[in-house]
Amino acid sequence: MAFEISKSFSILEKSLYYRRIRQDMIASNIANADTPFYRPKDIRFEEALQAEIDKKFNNIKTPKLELAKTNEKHLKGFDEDSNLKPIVFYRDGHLARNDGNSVDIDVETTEMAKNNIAYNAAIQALRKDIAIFKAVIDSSRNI
Amino acid sequence: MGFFNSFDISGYGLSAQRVRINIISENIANANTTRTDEGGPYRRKEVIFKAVPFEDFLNKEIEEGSNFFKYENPLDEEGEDYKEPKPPIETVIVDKIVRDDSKPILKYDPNHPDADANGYVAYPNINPVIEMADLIEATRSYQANVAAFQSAKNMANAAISILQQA
Repeated sequence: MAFEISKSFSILEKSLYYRRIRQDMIASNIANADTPFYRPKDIRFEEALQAEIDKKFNNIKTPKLELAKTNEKHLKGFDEDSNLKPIVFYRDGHLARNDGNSVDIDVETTEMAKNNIAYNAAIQALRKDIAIFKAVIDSSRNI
Repeated sequence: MGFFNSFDISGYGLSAQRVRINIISENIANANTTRTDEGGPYRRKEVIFKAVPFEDFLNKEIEEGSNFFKYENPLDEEGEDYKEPKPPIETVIVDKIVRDDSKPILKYDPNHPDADANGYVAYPNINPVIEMADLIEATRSYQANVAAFQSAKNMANAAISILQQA
């Protein structure tokens, strides 16, 4: 984007992107509900998204004390980059069946419904965001 | 990134479950068949599913943009069975259809044209109770895929609704 009209735009875009990936993952878990030795997979992106929001709005609540760096070979002290990425993991802990498959259809459909509603919420937020700018443009027409 | 990805993932699931339902129906229909082209009674068939990576491009994108959490198998006593959830997104295909070569059921019926020298007729190794249970399981799995499909459709429609007057 050449100029950024709204900070929430890119955050919502990221959120929709992750939600869509998560939808694909849950769909593949459901498609493989009868595949032997298949384990359900999931993605956790809330922390990564929160980190991105904090960065964008500059609201880092507890500012981290940086170590003094007098040489460029000095270590940072804590790795920041690893927290900024979403985590893909096996969502295990459900009862595994005799064929080694541990997909629980009820859990999958529940997660899918949650994901769907969160996606729709993000869409609504995006529409409202667009509506604000539309209102500004419309109201400035008669000046 | 494909807009209709999860449609296809669920679509693969639907067609795989449909194949399974067809095979189960075939087993039930042939529960009393004593003659086949290969000779002998009909033998039960079973469908084997396999998980395959769905879209290489999308999977690569996820692998580059995410950390992978290693999974330790709790049943593995040596504690060496670590696995990373790769590839992240997989769909399902019918790997093969296998024949169940367990022994046929023998029934004493000397007047039957297919009876052997001792008067026993070999009937297919099909237990209708197992077939019906499998059929219900396949139907439920099919419905779960339909639910996933509808959910993806709702999401796609919501995304399109951004373009409607905001």
